[in-house]
Amino acid sequence: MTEGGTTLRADAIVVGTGAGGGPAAAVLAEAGLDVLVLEAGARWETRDFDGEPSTMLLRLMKATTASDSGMELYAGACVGGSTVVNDALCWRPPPEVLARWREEHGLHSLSDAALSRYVDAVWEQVHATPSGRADLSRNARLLERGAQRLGWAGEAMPRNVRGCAHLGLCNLGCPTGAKQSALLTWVPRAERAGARVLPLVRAERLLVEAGRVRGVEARRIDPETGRPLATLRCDAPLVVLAAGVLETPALLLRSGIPAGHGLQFHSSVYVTARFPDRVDGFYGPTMSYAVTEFSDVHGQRGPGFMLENVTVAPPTTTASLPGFGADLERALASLSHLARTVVVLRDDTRGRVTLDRAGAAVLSYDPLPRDLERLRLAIRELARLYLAAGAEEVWLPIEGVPPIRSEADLAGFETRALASRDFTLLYAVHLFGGAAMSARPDAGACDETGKVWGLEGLYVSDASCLPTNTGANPQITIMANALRIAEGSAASTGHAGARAALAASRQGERR
Amino acid sequence: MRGPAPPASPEAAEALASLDRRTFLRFAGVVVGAGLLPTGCGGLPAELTPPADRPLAVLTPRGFASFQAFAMRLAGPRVRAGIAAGALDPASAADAWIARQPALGAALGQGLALLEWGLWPLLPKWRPFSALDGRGQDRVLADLAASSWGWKRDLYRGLKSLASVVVYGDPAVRRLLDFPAPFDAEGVRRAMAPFDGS
Repeated sequence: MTEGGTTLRADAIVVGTGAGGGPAAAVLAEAGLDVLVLEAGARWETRDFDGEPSTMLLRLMKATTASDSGMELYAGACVGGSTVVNDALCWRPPPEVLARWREEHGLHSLSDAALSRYVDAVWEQVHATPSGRADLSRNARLLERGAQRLGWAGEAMPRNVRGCAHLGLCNLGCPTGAKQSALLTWVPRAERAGARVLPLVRAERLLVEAGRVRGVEARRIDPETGRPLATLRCDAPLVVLAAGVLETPALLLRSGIPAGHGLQFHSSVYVTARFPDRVDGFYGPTMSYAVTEFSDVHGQRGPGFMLENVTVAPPTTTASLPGFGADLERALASLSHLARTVVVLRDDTRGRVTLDRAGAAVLSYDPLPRDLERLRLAIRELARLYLAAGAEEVWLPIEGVPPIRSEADLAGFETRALASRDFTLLYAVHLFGGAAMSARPDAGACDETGKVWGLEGLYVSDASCLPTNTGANPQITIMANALRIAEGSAASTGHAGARAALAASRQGERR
Repeated sequence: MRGPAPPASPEAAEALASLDRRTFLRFAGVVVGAGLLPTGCGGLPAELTPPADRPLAVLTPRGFASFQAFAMRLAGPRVRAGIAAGALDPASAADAWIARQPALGAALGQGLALLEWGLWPLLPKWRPFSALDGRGQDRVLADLAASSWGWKRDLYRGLKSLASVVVYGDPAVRRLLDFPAPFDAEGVRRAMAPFDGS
């Protein structure tokens, strides 16, 4: 690293500290490599999380929009990445998704059996734990009640928490340290093994020479303004990219490396319902129960969406309710009686990352008509569920649609034309692709080990390298894949310690 | 298409510069330029004026006024009164938020310029948005929300989303909502208590 004439070098650089970067940093450091970890966001600790949206959203998250559809896209922007602001939900990688990766993308090493030891290791590290009935808030129980009355499948979701206090603040930074985010698990583990984490350092471009990566050119970031400051040069023969889908493909493109194709999301919309009883949906685990009836993973054969209860936080509740002024105030007057659920759609749509003239990422993603129709189906079924659960009013996330008070009120919604711009809030926080693994260099940026085609020493370990979306909350899949990729990348260095650590890891697996 | 008419004020010039990027926005620029002289650019009421002690990072003073006015109409009468009384300042909060989200800054600037300066037939008004009365501003919001033009709905949705975050994420809004605080032990206990019979 060069800064003001000082040069530091490392054996490996990891760009990013979230679900893809945290595990990679830990594996590489424990393999005996000298690891530098670059994170564009600031480092905030549990004591800094005050539960106030006004400060936490500003500190912890970044936002952008799809250039064509206006879809809103969010990701974590701090040490720990999106794991600091996610809802702590844990799903094992769906076998159907892994099968598709093998069959359609040629990723033959990604069998359930091969991945399971990484998944088990992740499950243990982040303390993924089944949710019991005591973890179901009233908000979650209303979703469960409606599903049961309609005879639909559903389940409480495992969460990576230790001693959750049910404050309803998972996605504003857990203020008690219950959520086992990368900030509390992988990053400290990497640091205990000697990794140096540099917050507020943004990777600008990769240094490439004679077919191999040589390091990263980066900029320090002003913590007050977010503006770039001095340029840094970080030298290492191994670079693992895990800056997230909003940054990793753009970093490759800025470095002249083909990337950006195959973007895919879980498109999400909210449905809100008012009940006669108090719900106090702004407290409790932010998410804990899923209706899996319509899912197409983990053994389900539905149209491909899940319905998951979600906190009734005032900012996002307001954004997702139709109307303004007195109409909005009337809905918010019953805030403590509202329940809310998010549709998590396994999109078929594909998008792309390109660069604008300044070198910033431009994400284009225009939902396909068949995805919009599945969103319509999901919204309709969710409205039916809430009515079955006893809701007095249901607000669909469509401007101009009056509140639903009976199934008959849904008739107009079912026949109206539907475009992505009709939704009050259409967004995604589960972002995939842009630097996907593939068996063919013309079909993806990386091979199945996560190594970027045609370049020695350069790997991608975050959700950018996943060839499709996963149909379920993805943090466990991303972490397990990152462990797998990091282990392989460490071995590729020829570092004696890395080889020994890898051999010990595999020996332990056989025992 | 010919270029926009000469702007009548530096702020309009800035608005036109950003509006010059797309065809429909160029059209808007013509309408803006032609309409500025009769509409005037008078002074702003106090609740739409940026605080003197905090410089704006991204918004122009006029953009500040447009956003504050939008947020006041988005919120209902109780929250609106809080903004008018100075208890809430969503435009300052939006300025701070956008300063940390560079991907959104340019789009917000364009959108606010269009909201403020766009005139009939683009928007249902003949005066700057911040100079309209409440009923006139509501007419503009309703037109944006229900328009068959995708860019209008994009503008409405984007501004509503940002205004929701900064208005309803503000601790001062809590006394106006039935939401006590993030750490209310009794509220948490109530939220986790099963319903009768479940």
